[in-house]
Amino acid sequence: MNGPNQDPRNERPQHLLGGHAMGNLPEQEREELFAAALQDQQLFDALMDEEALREMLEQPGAKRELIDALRPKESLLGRFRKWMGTPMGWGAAGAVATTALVVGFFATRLTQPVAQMQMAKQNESAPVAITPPPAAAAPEARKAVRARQPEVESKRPATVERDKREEAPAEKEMARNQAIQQQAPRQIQAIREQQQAAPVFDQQVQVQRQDSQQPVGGVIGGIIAPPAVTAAAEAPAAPPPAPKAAPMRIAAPPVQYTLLKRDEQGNYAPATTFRDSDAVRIRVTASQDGFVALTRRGEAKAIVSLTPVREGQTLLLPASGFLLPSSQPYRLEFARQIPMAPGATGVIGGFRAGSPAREMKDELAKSKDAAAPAQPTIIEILIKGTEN
Amino acid sequence: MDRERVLALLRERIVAFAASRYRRDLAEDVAQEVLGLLHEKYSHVTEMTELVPLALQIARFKIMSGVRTGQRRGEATAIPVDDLPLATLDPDPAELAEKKEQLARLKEAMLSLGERCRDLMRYKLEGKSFAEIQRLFGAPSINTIYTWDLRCRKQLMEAMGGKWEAGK
Repeated sequence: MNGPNQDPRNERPQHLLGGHAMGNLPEQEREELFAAALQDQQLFDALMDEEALREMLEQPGAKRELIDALRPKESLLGRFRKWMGTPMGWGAAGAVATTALVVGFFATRLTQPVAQMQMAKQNESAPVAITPPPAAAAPEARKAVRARQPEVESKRPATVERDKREEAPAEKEMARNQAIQQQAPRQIQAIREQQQAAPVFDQQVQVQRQDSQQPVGGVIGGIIAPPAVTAAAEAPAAPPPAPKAAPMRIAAPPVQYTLLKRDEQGNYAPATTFRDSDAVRIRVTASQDGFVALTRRGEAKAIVSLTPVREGQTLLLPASGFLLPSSQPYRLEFARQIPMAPGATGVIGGFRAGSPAREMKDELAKSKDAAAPAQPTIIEILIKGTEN
Repeated sequence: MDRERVLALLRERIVAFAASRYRRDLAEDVAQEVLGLLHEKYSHVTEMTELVPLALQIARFKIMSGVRTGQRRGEATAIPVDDLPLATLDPDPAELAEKKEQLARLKEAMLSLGERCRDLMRYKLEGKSFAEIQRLFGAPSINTIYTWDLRCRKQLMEAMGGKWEAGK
């Protein structure tokens, strides 16, 4: 080697050779390299050899292609983190959070009718009326029940139910229904014992299966427990208190129903099994003054809207036409009062769908329960049909 | 260093290079053509940092052109370089395809390097100076980077078969 590179102290131009083809030498280093190459044949030869690489890299897009290939591959998590730092990532996160909130909200709302159905099925196998069990963990509720026992014996059951409904917050109804569902077996046993001792409404009360596979007919009050019944039922299972002199009586069921099927002559008769094409009506007998309506789950429009009914009166729903077996349960709704105030709680499909006529308002005004808040009772009736 | 001095040194280096790699007669002719072009066509280029790379580029082009012609015509029927046709500077399609293949080879070779060499090559391609690369690697001395670069280039050259261009 001739030139400055013979001096071991000056090896820098040799090192700069690697930067020539890549084009990463500053002006000063380029000058240093070329000056050395003019003096050093070996360095010049190396520079000439590098020319091929430099020419290769000078092709349009060549450097970019190599840089992309050499860039370390980012992990999926790393790419996700990087993406989350962008406005689009923030937007997507917001959308996901909103969707989760909406889904959670509707899922919570949808559990209410499901719970009602579950409770109804729980009671299907127990042809009894529900008597509130004693509750150790709910002393206030138990006290309230005890305090009202003398009053209960002197009043009609419907009045007892109304009074207790006033005390029961509507928003706790769902939780109470679930408590009843959990305690149903224990309650059934207690109730049977009480029935043997002092039957009160047993002759009237019939709870039947609603899937039309069992004897037809039902009692709304025995299936969807009104707040008066559930007030004491939310307490956890506990040993029953000392027996009282007078047994606890439950509120009378507000309405009974029977499923009717049209025969070949066009007459409607009670039936237990249905085919898909059968014409069905529901015979409803009220044990209280009030209003009934009939809807079907998932439908906003009422099949029968807001029909006044007197104590002991029997109605056919629908009065004209008929129902068909359906996979969606029908909802028989009963209320003792039309919810008049805007935004009143307890407004349900059938009562919301129709606007009260004048005569209905008159009925309401005449009603001795007019001052009571509207707390509609709902029973879901599943009329299953078999294939023809 | 003035222009005349640079050109004189360039001629000397080009002749030595071509003579060592190819034929002596071809070396003289190549050097002559390079200097002729630098005088006639690039007389306005005076700076050494521009003259040297320009001369390298022209010399390489002339040498490769002469080699191709010699291969095409055969060594036994070699003709004087004066008879060689002047080719255009634009690459022909075959040349473009060849460059594309070479680039693919280079890419494959670079990807076969170790992680540190790949990073070093990437930094160089991105135009980062050796001082900047030293900071990026956190190396204690710039000589460490020079050493790494020397080793990496050697590995790269080996991965490409000992030379940058295939079959030349």
